Order: sequence, then C-alpha cells, then structure tokens
Amino acid sequence: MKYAEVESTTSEAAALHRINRSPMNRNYEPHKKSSRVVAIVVVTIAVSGYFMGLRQTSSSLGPAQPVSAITEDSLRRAAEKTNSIPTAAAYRDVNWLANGQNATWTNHLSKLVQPTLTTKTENASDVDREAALTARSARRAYNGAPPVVPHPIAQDSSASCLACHGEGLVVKDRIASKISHPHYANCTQCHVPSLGTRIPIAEASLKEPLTENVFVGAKEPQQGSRAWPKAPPTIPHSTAMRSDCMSCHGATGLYALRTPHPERQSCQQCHVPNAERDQRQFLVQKP
Amino acid sequence: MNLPRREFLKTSALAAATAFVAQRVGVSAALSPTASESDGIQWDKAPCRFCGTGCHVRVGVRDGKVVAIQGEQLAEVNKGLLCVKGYHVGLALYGKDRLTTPLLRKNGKLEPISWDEAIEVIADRIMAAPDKFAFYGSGQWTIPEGYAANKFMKAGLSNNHIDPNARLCMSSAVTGYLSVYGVDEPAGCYDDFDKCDVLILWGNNMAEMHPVLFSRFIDRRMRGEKVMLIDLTTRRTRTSDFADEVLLFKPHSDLAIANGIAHLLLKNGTYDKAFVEKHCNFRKDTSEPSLNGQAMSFEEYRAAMEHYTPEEVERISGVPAAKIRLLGELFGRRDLRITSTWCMGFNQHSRGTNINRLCHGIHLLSGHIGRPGDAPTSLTGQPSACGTAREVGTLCHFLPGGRLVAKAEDRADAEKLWNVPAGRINPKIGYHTVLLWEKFCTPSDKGGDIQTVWVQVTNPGQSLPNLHKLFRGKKNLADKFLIVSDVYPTATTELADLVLPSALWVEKNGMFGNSERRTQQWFKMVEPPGQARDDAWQTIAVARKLFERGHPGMKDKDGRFLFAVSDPSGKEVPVWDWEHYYNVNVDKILFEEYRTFTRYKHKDLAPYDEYVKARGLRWPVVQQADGSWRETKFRFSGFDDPYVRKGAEFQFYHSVTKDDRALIWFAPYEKATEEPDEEYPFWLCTGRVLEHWHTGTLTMRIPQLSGSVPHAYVEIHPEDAAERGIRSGDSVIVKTRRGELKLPAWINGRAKVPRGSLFIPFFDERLLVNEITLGDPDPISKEPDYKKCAATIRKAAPSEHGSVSRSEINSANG
Repeated sequence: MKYAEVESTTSEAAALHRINRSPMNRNYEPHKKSSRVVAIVVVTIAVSGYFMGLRQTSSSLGPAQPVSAITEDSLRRAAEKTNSIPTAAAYRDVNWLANGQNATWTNHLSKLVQPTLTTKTENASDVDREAALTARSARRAYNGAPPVVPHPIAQDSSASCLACHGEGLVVKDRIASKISHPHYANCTQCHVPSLGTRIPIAEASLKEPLTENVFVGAKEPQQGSRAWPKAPPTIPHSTAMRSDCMSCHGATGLYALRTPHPERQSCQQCHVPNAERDQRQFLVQKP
Repeated sequence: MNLPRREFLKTSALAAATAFVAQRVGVSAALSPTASESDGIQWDKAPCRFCGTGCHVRVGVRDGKVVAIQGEQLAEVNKGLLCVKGYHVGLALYGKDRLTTPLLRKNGKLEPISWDEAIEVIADRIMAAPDKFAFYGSGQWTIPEGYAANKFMKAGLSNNHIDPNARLCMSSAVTGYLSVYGVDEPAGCYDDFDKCDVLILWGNNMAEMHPVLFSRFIDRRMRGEKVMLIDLTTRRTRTSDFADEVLLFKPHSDLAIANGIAHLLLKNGTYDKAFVEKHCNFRKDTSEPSLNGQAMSFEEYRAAMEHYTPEEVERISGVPAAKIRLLGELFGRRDLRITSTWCMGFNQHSRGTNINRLCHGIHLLSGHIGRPGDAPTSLTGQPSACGTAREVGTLCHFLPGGRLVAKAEDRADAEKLWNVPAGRINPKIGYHTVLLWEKFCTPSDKGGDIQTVWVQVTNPGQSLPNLHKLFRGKKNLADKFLIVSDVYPTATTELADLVLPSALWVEKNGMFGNSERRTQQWFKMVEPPGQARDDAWQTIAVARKLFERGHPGMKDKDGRFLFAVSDPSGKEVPVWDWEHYYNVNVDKILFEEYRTFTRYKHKDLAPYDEYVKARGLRWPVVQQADGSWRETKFRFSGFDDPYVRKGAEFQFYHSVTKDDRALIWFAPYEKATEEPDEEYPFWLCTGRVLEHWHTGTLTMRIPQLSGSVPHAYVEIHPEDAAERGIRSGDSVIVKTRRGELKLPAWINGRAKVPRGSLFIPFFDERLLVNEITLGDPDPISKEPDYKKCAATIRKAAPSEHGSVSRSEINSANG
C-alpha cells in the first residue's frame, strides 16, 4: 500500500514538472490550456488510481499466486470478512523470485533466442557489402587494427566483455560479435572505448583532442579472387587474430559478410588464405 | 632492348627515382632481410616506440607513409600480440602539429630559423661556457643517439653533466642490481613468465603498464595451466581483477612485507641453506647510505629480521598476518617456481634502492633464482632505458658498458677506445637529473652553474617532480638557455629558447634495448616531415661546428674529428651535412664503435648485421665455434651463461665481494618522507593508464587513445567522496604543500583506491600533477618518489580558476 501511495504522488509530481518545464508553455496560450487539461486528467487518474490500489491489493495478488506463496491468505481473508483493517503480507516476506509472476523468467543472455545457424544471406549486393565494410572501418584506425568499443565498458574488468562477446549475441538490430581470438584473456588490452571514460565533467574542453591526426590507414580489403565465376573465393585478408571465421562470417557477423552456407564447418577447406598477406610472410627471408 | 624511346625514358627515370628514394631512406627497404610486401604495402620489422617491453611490430608503408601495423609473429617477446598503444603506434607520426622547422625565441616568440643558424646558436652557447652546458637525454634515445651524446659530452667537452630521464624511472633498479650482483640488469628474462608457477607483482599494475607481458603470463590459464597471481598493491586495478590474492598494503610498507617474508623463511627454517652458504654474503648499510655498505654476519642478519613477525608486518602494512604467512610459505617451497616483477612502485620510492635489495634478498635467501621461472625481474617503462641509459651509460657517473667515471682504470680504457688524449675524461661525477635542473633553475649568482641545457627525446616540463622548483623557475632567468629537440610542442618547448624538429621512430634508423637485455634494430622506412632531422645528426652537426671553431675536445689524439666517418673506400663522408647523413649507415658505425665497450662487464653485443636479421638478441651475445652468435637467457646460471665457470651451477661473476657471491641485504622499514597528517590527510599517488604513455606527447595525439581516456582525473574512495559531497565528474581541488590542482573526480572508475588515498595519472599536460608532487629522492639512486606525498581534497567552487590551457600559456609567454 505504501508502494501505491509513493507511485501516485511521484507520477503527479512528474506530470506537473513536465508541464512547467515545457518551453512552449510560456509563449503559446492554446497549448497552455491543453496542458492544464492534461494535468487535471493526470491528477484525476493518479488520485483515483491511489484509491483503486487500496481496494485491490489482496484480491489481485491471489489468483496468480501458487497457494504456497501466501500462507497467511486464509487468515487475512477471514480478517477482511470481520471488517477489521486489511493486512497485506510484507513484501520482504514474499519470495517473489521463486514464486512471483515472473518465476519462469531468467535473466541470462544465453537464454535469448538467437538466429539459427542456417540464417542465410544469399543476395548481399555490392552496396550491402560496401556498407558492411564501411561500418567495419569506422571503428578501426586501419585494416587490421583492433576495433574500438562503441559502448560504455566495465572499466575494471575484462570478464564482463565475454558475457556478450564470448559466444556473440543478437538482440534485435544490435549485434555483439563473437570473439575471434578466444585464447586471449585481457580484452581491454587492445579494445578501448571510443567514447571515453564517460566521467560527467563540466569542462567540455578537457574532452577535446590536443590536435588533429592526419594518419590515413590502409583500407579494408575487397573480395578475394576467384579462378572462375563460381569458384570459391580466396581469403582477401590476413588470418592473424582471426582464428574463428564465424565471428565475422557467422550469424553474429555483419549482414553482407555472412556466409551463404553456414552449415559447412570447415571454411579453409575451400577458402585459402594468401601467404603473402598472411602471417607466413614474416618467415620469408630474402636470399 | 626493344622498348620505344619514350617508354625507355620513362622506365629509366622511374628506376633512377626509385634508387634515389632507396638511398635517401638509407640502406633500408631494399636491403632489409626482414622486409616483405603485400597489397602494395611494404612491411618491415621495428620494435614498438612505447614501453620497455620491447614488442616487435611490422610497419606497413605505402607511398612514403605508414598505413598499418601488425604484431610481429616471429618476435619472441610478443609472439604476434600487441597492446592498444602498439597497434596505434603508427599514428604517432601524424599529429597535425608536428614540429617541422627550427624555432628560435625572439622577443618572447618562437620564430622559424634555418638549421645552420640553429647549429650556430648552440655552438655559441657551448663555446661561451662549455662547463656550464648540460645534456638532458632519455631512455627513448636510440642506442646510437645516446652513444653520440655521451661521447660528445665525456670525450668531447670533458663534461659529465649528462643525465637521462631514465634517472626518474629506473635508477633505483640499477643501484639494486649493482649492490646485490655487482653488475646491472636482470639475471632472468621474459621466459620466466612462461615457466613460473607464481607471479608476484610488487606495486605493479602490469595489466595496464606491461599488458603484453601480463597476457603472456595470464593467457597460460586459457591453455589450461594452473598459475597463481599475487597482486601486492596500494589500490585495486585491472590487474587485481585477474589475481588470486589481492594484498592491499599501506604506501611505503613494502619494506616491511619483504622483511616479513625473510623473517618467516628464517624462523621456519625454509630458506635455502645450501644455496645461501655457497652463493651469498650478507650486507647492510653504514650510517650513511651507500652503494656497497658493509658486511654483516648471518647471525646479525637473522637478529635484525627478528622484529618483522607477521603480526608486526600486519600492524605496519595493513596486510593480514595470515597473508604474510602465505607469502612466507610460498617462498619456502622448493617445488614452486616464483617470479617477482616490479616497476615504478619500487623505483620511484624514497627507499627505492633498499626495496630493490630486499626483493632480490628474499629470492636469494629462498633460492628462487637462476632457474627458468625463478627470478626477481624489474620492468622498465621506456623502450631503451636499458639499452641506452643503462648500457650506453648516458648518466652523469657512467661510461659506456657499465663502467664508471670515478674509476681511473675505466676512464683510461674509454680514452683509449675513443682515441682521445689521457686525462680527457673529467674524473668528477656530473649533476644527476634533479640536481641538474635545480642548478639550471637557480640564478647564476646564487650557485646555479648550469646555464644551457639541451633536451633530447623527453619532456621534463611535465615529467620532473615539483615542477615549480625544478622547471618553471627557469622562466625568469634571462641568462639561462633551454634547447629542446622534439617532435611536437610540449610543456617543455613552452619555456624553450631554441626548438629543434626531430625525426621520430621509423623516420630514422635506430636501435633499442628492452627490459630483458634484448637489443633490437630497425631501418628508416619513411621520411621525417619538413625539416625534421635525426637527433644523432643534430649532435654530430653541433660537434662539427665546435670542431670548425677550434674547440680542442672535438679532435681525437690524431687531430681527426671525433665523429669522423669513412665510406667503404676510406673516403671521409661529411655526415654533419644532412645531405650526406644517409650516404652511410651512421647507426651501424656508431654501434660498432660502442660495441667494443660492452666486453668489459660481460655485456657482449653482436655485430650490427646480426641484429638486422634478428628480432632482437639478449646479451651477452657470444660467438660460437661455428661463427654463429648465441644469446643468453639466464645470466649467472651454469646451464645457459657461457661466462659461468665450467661445472658451476651458479656464479655471480661480478660479485661486489669478489668471491662470486651475491649479497643479501638487510634494510629496515622506515616511514615515508611525507605521510598524511591532520592538515593533509590523504596519500597522493601518481602513475600511468593503459592508453597513455608517459607525458602523452604521442598518445594524446592518437584519436583512439585520447578518445578512450581524454583527460586526467583523481580517483577517490566513495566514502571519502561522500563525506566531502563529491560526485563523479565534479571538479575538485587537490592540494599539497607545493601547490594545488583542479581536476575532475572519478569514483569507482577503472581502479579503486582505498580510503585515505588519491591517485592521479600524469599524462595530461593540461592537468600537471607534477606541480604538486614531492619527489623526495632515494639517497643512493637519486631517483625521486612520485608515488607518495600528503594531500587534501575538496570540492571546487564553481568560480574557482581551472586548469591552465596551452594557448593561455603561450600567450602569457608571448
């Protein structure tokens, strides 16, 4: 009951607050009037909601609850029938996680429904591919540079990175790519957040760089070469740090870069790297 | 040849142009055996420009510009992996405000002048008072650059006022090695990280400061190996996140913890009796701290350690007695391999030499030394702090090869190798860094007898402690003259009278020496911008100018120029003329000359061409019967070090006591110089973050790095902050007895300080924490303590004056 009370007063206050702060409020009369109407409606709903809340507490809890959750239910109903003051079970006494309406819901990323292995991209156009490569290079200083992180990070821990990037994760249009070099443990050694520490400082000038940098990095490679039109293309990039092809070309990769035949497991059976640009070049010693 | 005439002309013009470029770029691309090509990009190896780890990168060059970087797969140090700085090192060359022309201050403003004028100006200053000239160098000097400067000063000007910024970061490690083994630098190497069962980090945030080495150890877990990480620290860091034990200790109490371990080894009888009896002597300081101290007996040592019971150590350090016992037990076990590492936590310590000695001491006492995985190893912060500062000896008391200015015999040898008359080298030790800057910032009539300082490859205007006293004092002294060779405007160039634009990293040939005695070489790959030129050339050009003006020191015994260089046909090459500097490989010539010095103290270096082929070699590099050159991983260990007597398991062949034994030192716990009190109740610590390297001159100009950590901040414990009404992002004033600094607070950010502690990184030139640090030096190494002083903190009022911006400073100067 306390809960309902707090909720109604805050929603009231919030509504009033919004109205007062509206910049149009001061110089646009018709709007002012309509705002007042809105305010009255909101207040009315909030106040009536408060009393509705008082009425429903015990009854609305009942049907969805397993019997075991509310052991004192019968006692309370008995008390209501005798017209004494209704007593709700204290919130702390109710094991909501085990018995509440969301008892079957689990907060674990791995339980999210993920695109299946057979999600295909057969008709990626050159435009799609170009867009994917542009998206890739936006986060890299040059082709082969470790990408910067486009979101805030846990500054003190690498373990949290792998919660999403360990196996890769798709939530609607947001993609967390799968780590392509899982034998390395210290993620933040190479991947740093692009939007800084996010310390909310007042002096904006401190966030400005000292100067511009005029470095121009090597570009993302285009498609590999094919011996004839239907031949498997060669790998157009180095495979160093890219031990898992599926991190870019699987379901958590960018749309136009995904393989059209994800059911096939052994990529390098057909697609071969180029010794020149691959790490094997380092072994080449001139005579 | 059946080419049409026009085609032929075009082809030959192209060939000539290519040959010219190849020549201008020295002996580089065309001749390098490690170069390769793909996708129109020319790749070659180079050590990373940043820290002392010494990772190798592959630098990708197209159309005369660096366009990409890869980790070098063949490099043993990093095995293809880099850190975020290493991956972006190529961008360091391309900040928009590169210095491209010499600048002389005229009526308060820096104005462009020609190189000829600049060299004349320097020559004027030196000729006027050669003994009041000082050279302030760097652990980022390449080996040949440092060697040229050292020779210029000691053999040319008979002046020992040359010291590097490395004095500020590793001289306590040097005095530690010298007083324990009689010779500098670690016995072990990075292979220890592959072999140890336990890694103990002493005040060392390795995950951020030496990330590639940290990964080399921690990634063993990903391969299923069981390894233990113990993080002895004064604040929780990213390193702590990986640690099995995080032992938070009170600043300066590491002295007590090391003694607590020795106490337990002795009390439990778990010290390595056989090893100690055969290979160790005991030592303590005399009443005045000194490098070599005096002998003490084992019984005296045992009695001195009696005091450091686990309970007493807990009282001093705050580390629970049970955890001290755990450390004691680990060291007492023979079946484990234990490696200790440290960096600035030990070295920037007003008892830096002592804590280095104590750490070596517990490894010697427990026999955890000399086998792969058993090693006490210091890490360095600069790419050539070892190679240039320590080995070339660009310090005020050193000669190349680890020899001493104060020793007549060492001087005589150096004079012979340099072919200069006997007595040329001044026997008096020069000014060490702190003293050098103090003398420069003191008026001449009040004993400030340094009038001109030439700074190369470093930024003392930001990195010296107590800047008001040691650097800014120069501002009002009209007769003092500051020369700065650098690549970007810095806090140092702000006060400079003459600024010289320098070539950076792969814009020149170079050699570095990393933390594990590994000497590395690279070739010039791209041209420096504008009129920027090599630092070694600058030194040689000034030397030549002095020679032409008749300075006697610039001639050798036979009247030849000190830096005379001949081509293979024996004809002298005028390398002081920039047009001819790359006609020969000056680096190779200087290195081959320097190499002769390295034989005296068993720091043997191989010929230059061996380093061209290798991804670094660890000294001593000794030639085998078949003519090949073999590096040494484990010094003083019979199974690997060719200088150990045949049949001996260990031999500390540079022993201070001349009996092949290492010294186990006793040193007491002592309080820090300035500890928190009622007026200044906080400990203030300073340091680095992963993204920025030292004073940020390079990393603050790399968008990916400055974008991640754009500015400095102060870390404060949430409860301390709450008591003062401070929230994350609020501007606060941190005040010490030397001044105050306004900057944003960061609570529960990347690292977490305990209550009563503050931490500020020093990379941000707009928020100079070194204006308020104490910098009390260690009595033996003269290295300042940046890690401890007393401070107070409060929320800043909105009206309070903020940080001083660069443009304000410039307009104030102008």
